[in-house]
Amino acid sequence: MAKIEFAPYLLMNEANIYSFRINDDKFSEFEKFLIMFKDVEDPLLLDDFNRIVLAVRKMSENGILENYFRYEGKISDRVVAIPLEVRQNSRPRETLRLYCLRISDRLLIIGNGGIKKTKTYQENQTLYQYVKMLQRIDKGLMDLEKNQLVIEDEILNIILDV
Amino acid sequence: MKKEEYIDPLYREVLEKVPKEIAYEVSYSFDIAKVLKDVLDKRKWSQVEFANKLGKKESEISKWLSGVHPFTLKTLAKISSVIDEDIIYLLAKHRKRHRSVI
Repeated sequence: MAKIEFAPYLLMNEANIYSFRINDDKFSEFEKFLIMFKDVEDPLLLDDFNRIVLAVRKMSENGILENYFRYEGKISDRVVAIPLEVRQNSRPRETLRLYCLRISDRLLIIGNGGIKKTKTYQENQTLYQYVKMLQRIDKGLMDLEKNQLVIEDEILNIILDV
Repeated sequence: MKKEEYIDPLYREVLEKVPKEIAYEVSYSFDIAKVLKDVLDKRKWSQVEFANKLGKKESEISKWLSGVHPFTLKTLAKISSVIDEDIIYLLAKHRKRHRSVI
């Protein structure tokens, strides 16, 4: 079991963006992603990173629109990846991916991400773990929603054991 | 904490280091995608309908709406002709309304 607590990153008029800490970690999952890649030396990966950072900012302005994402998990969950396709033509086998939960047009929960070298995230153990964690959190949130809890209003009060 | 203004400090630090050229490119792409989405919603046009009007495939419209498509002037002109509105003007109006920071 893992204890999950949520932390705000961008709270704007159009949308709110959060990440989460696992088992009282010092850093949230999005912080870990930012720290890991903010000084990456590979210019193409740095370019991907910059575009992802900007994409998050633009979503907070324009709303968490479904068309901005690629669904990555199962049909029944809300796991998505940013971006849809970056540099698809020039480097199809290696791009940076950031995995998230798109709860609604107004709420995004960002997890961790990494370099995707394989065709599917399932082939990479690290990325697979990030997606699995988001799926477990999504299930926990769906259970709360079934009990009429409005996630957007209560997210900072929610502690999940997943 | 004023809701509209909260940006995490580490995220802000990283955001400010993004080269302006990339920042503008991504910002324009996302804003054009948003403007296009609003046009389709307002007119109740499906992506397929819009694709047919443009003589494009639906998959291409999906890429445009993903926020990461590098639009050319030729494509923007084609879009303007089909929606019969100036897409550049709609983009500018959107960016002014949302006080886009980049």
